[in-house]
Amino acid sequence: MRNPENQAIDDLLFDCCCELFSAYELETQPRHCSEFPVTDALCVCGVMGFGGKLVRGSLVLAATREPLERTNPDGFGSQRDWVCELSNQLMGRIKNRLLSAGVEILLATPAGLSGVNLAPTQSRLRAPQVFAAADGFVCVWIDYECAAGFELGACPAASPEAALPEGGVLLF
Amino acid sequence: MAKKILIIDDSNTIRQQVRAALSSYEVVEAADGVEGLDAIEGHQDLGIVLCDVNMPRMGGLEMVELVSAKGKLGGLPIVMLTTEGQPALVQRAKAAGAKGWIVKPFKPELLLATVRKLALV
Repeated sequence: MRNPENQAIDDLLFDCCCELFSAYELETQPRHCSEFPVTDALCVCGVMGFGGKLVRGSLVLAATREPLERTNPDGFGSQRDWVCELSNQLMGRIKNRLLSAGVEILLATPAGLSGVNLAPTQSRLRAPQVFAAADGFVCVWIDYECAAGFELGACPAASPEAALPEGGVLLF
Repeated sequence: MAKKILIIDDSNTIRQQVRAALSSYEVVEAADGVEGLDAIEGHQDLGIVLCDVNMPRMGGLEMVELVSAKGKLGGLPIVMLTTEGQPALVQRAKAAGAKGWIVKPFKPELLLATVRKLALV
C-alpha cells in the first residue's frame, strides 16, 4: 500500500519503484511503513542526491540481501555497488517523470552506506515505502524540500518532448 | 583481429553486466571519463565505446565533447548507456558526435544488436 500521508513526489517514487522492480522481474508487495525491517537485516543502502530550482533532496534505497541477489543473479560486483546502481536507476526514472511535469533536476553520483544503524524517521510525511519481496525487503524513501509555492503537476511542461523510455535504444 | 569494446561506467556491476552481454567480444573497462579518455587515446583497436553519463571526475558527455574537440573520434562510434533520458542531454550527445543513446536498465539482446550494428570491424 502507498503510505496514506504521501505527497505527490512520494507517489511518484512509489510508481517508479514498481516499474524498476518489474524491469528486473522482482515481484514485490507494498507493505505498511510500520513493517520496516529491523535495521540489522538491511544489508546496504544507496543514496542519490538531487537538486533543482524547485525541489532538492535525497533518495535512499535500502535492501536486505535477497532482493539484491535476485536482481543481480550473476552476482556481478559488490552488493554496495549494485544498490548504488539501483538507486541511480530509480532516481533516473524519477528525474524523467519530473521532467515531463516541467520539473528539472540534476543528479549527483550515488553513494553507498552500510544498513547498520539505519532507522527511518518517525515523521509520517517522510515514512519509508516498504516493499516485501518473496524473500527480503526493499525500503525506499525520499527526503526533499521545495521552493515556496511549488506543487507537482502545477508547473508548465519545460519540454514538449518526453524523456526516452527506460530500456529504449535511440540511434542517431 | 577483432576490434575491442570500451565500457565506461563508474559501476563495476554494470561493467561486468556489459561484459557478460557482449561475451563474444573483447571488452576493456574504464571507471570514469578521465580513464575513458585515456583508454580511447591509448587503444587504437576500439570498435565502439559504451559510455555512462553521470560519473565522478568527468562525466560521459564532457568526455565525448572533449574527444570530439580533440579530433580523436575518427569514426569511432560512441553510444551513451545511462539512466538519463532527458532530450536536452540526448541532443548534446548527438551534437558532440555520439551515435546512440540507451536508457538503463539495458536489455542484453538490444545492447548486443546495437554493438553489432554500429561497431567498427
